[in-house]
Amino acid sequence: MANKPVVISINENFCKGADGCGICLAMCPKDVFKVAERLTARGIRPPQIDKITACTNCGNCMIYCPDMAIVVRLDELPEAAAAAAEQWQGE
Amino acid sequence: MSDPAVLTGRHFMQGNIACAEGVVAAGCRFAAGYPITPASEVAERLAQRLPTLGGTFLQLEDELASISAVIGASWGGLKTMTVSSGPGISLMLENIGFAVGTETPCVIVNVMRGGPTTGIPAVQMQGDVIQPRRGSHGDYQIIALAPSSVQEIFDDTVRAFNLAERYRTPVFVLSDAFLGHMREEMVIPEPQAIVLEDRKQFPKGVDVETLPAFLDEDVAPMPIFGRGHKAHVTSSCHDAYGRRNVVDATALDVFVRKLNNKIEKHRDAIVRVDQDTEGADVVLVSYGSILRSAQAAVEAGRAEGLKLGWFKLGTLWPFPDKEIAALADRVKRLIVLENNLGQMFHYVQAAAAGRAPVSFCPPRIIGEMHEIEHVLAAVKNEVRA
Amino acid sequence: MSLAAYEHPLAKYIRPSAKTTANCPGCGNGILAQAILQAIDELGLTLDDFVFVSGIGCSAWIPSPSFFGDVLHTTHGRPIAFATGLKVALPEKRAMVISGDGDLTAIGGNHLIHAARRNIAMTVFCVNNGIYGMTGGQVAPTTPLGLNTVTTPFGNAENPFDICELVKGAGATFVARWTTYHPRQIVKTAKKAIQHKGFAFVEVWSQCPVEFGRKTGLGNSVQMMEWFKRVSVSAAKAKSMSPDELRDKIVVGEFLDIEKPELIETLAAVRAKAMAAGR
Repeated sequence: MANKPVVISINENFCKGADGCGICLAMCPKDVFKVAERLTARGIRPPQIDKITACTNCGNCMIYCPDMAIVVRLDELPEAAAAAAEQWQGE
Repeated sequence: MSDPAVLTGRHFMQGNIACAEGVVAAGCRFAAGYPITPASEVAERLAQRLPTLGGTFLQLEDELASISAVIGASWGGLKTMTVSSGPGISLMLENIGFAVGTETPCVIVNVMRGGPTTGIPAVQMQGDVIQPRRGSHGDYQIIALAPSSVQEIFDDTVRAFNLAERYRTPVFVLSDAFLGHMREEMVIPEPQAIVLEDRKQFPKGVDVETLPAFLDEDVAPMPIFGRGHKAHVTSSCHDAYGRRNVVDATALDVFVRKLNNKIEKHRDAIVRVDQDTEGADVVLVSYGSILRSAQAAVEAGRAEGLKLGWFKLGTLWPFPDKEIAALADRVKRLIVLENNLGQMFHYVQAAAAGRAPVSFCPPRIIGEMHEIEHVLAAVKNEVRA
Repeated sequence: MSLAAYEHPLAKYIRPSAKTTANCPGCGNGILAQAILQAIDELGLTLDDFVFVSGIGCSAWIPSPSFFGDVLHTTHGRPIAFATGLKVALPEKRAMVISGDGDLTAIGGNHLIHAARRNIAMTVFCVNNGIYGMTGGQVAPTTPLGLNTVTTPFGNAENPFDICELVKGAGATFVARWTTYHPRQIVKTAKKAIQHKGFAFVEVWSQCPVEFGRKTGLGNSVQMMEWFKRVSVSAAKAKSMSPDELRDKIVVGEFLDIEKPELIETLAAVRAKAMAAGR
C-alpha cells in the first residue's frame, strides 16, 4: 500500500470503455476498479474506482491504457490530496 | 580543387550530362536513382559531381525507394531529383502522386525509350508523354517540360527546379534516348546569370496548428522538417492544416480542386511555346527531339515553295490549349508530329476543334525520327485532300 | 470515486488538434505509443529531436497525427525509404519509423532489408498484429499457418515470417521483440534503440481485437494480451527449447546489439574524400 494518498484520474473523453477495452481493469493487480453502471455521453461505460485504498501506485492502469486516459499519481494538489486523505481515513 | 557547381563556358556536351549539369547548377544537392538505360549517364555524372559539392547521390534498391527518398529529402529542405526511363517512371507513379498531394517540390527526369514494357532501352520514342498527366491515379495537374536540344535540356532542368519550388509540385523533364545520348554545342552561363527560385517557407517559430501549410491556390508556405514547425504531412485527404479527413466527400472536393487550381490558375506563367509560322498555311506541331524533324521539314518544304511553319510545345503540361487555339484560328491546318501512335495529337486536336483540322503523322518507323521526305509527303497529301 | 481529469504527463507530446485516436477500443497501438513517448521523455529528448515517418495501416496512425513533432505519413510500404531521404537531409535529427507488419515486411520488405543492410541510423518499430487490420482482416506475412482470415477463409497456407530473424539476416545491428503486454520493457528497449548508432529494429506484437481477435475467435483485447503473456518466452529460455516447443511461442527480449559501419557516417566520409580530392 502506498504511504501517500494516491489519486487516479480517468478522462472519460479519452476512455473507450470497459466493454470494448477494459485493459485497466484486467491489468490492475489489486482490483481497484469496477465497471461503471452508467453510460457516458459517448456511449461507453468507463472504469470506476472501487477501492482506492487498495491502490499501490504500481502505475499499470496508466501505462497500459491505450488512450492515455488514466493518470495515477501520489498527489500534492491540496484539494485532491485532501479528498484522497478523506478516503484513506475512511478505511 | 573541385569543379564549381556551375560549369560556365561553351561545351560540346552529351544531353544526359547537360541534364546533370542543370541539376547541379539549379542548387540541387540530393538525387536518388536506379540504373536504367538510357538514363544512367545522368545518375553517374551526379554520383561524380554531387559529393564534391557537399551533396549526395544514392543509388537505392529500386525506383520506388528512389522517388520516396527524393520526397523525404525535399521535406528535409533540400532541392531533390530523380532520373529514370519509362519502366522506372511507371514504378514511381504512386509516389509521384504522393508528391502532388503533399505539395512536395521535386524534379523527375524521364529519358524516354522504346516501349511498352522493356521494349528497346537505347532507341528513342515519345511514348511516355501522357504518363506524367494521367499515369498516377486520381485527378491531378502536373508540369512537364519537353526540351529539344542539349542546350534546352540544361535550361529546362534548371527551369524545372524553379517551377517545382515555386508551385510546390513535382515537375517532369521529358528527354529521350536520342537527346540524352547526342552531343551538341551548348553554353552554360555565369552563376549570377542563372535565376534560381526557392520554396516559400514557414515563418520561424510557427507551427502547423496555427498556419495553413497546404491547399492554397497561390501556394502555401512549406513547413520544412527539423525547424520546430511540427509539420503533419499525410498522403490521406487533408485540409489546409494537414489534418486528415477520410470521411467527408466535401473534404475530398476541396482537396482535389485546390491542388488542381494551384497549377491551372498559374498556367500562363508555366506554359512555354515557340513557333515559326510566318505566312504558314500548314503548321507542324511537335516537341522534344521530333521538333528537329519538323523544323528540318519546314525548311525543306519552304524551299519547295510550301507555306509551312512549325509550332513547338515547350511545356506538354499544363497543355498549351489556348496557344493551340490561337494558332488554329490563324492557319489552315495543323499536323502533329510525334514519335508514337498519337498521344499529344488528341489534345492538340481537341484544342483546335472547330478552328482548323488537325491530323497526325507518325514517323515512318516508330523509334526513328521523321524523315523530311516522309513529312513533306504527308503534308502534300493532307493539302490535296 | 474518480476526480476531475488531470493532464497525463505525456500529454505535452500530443498534437492539440489530435487528442483522441481513431483506434478501436482496446487496440494495442496506444500502449506502444505511450511507451515510445515515455522513452523519449526519459531520455530528456523532445519530439523536435526526431522526424517521424509512417506508412499505411493502423499502427502508422501512431505518430500521425498524434505526435506533436514533424510527421511524414507516406504511401504503403515506403516509410523506410522516405525516412532514408529525410535522414540524409537532416542527419542531426533522429529518424523514427513506426509502421505495421504488412507495411514493413510485405509491400515494404525490400526497403526493410536494404535499410538493415545499410545499417542506416534509424529506429524502426514494427507493430505486428498478425493481420491487415485497417482493411478488414486480410492475411499478412505474419499470420500463423492455418489461420482463417477474410482472404484465407479455408486456412492460411503460408508460413509466417520471423521478422527479427529476417532483419538480423539483412544486417541490422540492434534487434529486439516485445509485446504490448511488456510496456515497461518496451520503454527500456526503446531508449536503447533510439540511442543506438545504426539500424535499430524493435518488433512489438500488438493486439488487434476487432480484426484478429474477433474475426479469428482468438478473443478480446484483454484475452489477447493474456495470450501474449502466456506464450512469451525470453530469448535465454528459448535457447534450451526445441523448434516444436517454440512453434506457438513468441520469443521476446533484446537479441542483438552490435556496431557496424553506419550509412550516414560513411556517406559523410565519402563526401569529405570527394571534396578533398576534387576532379
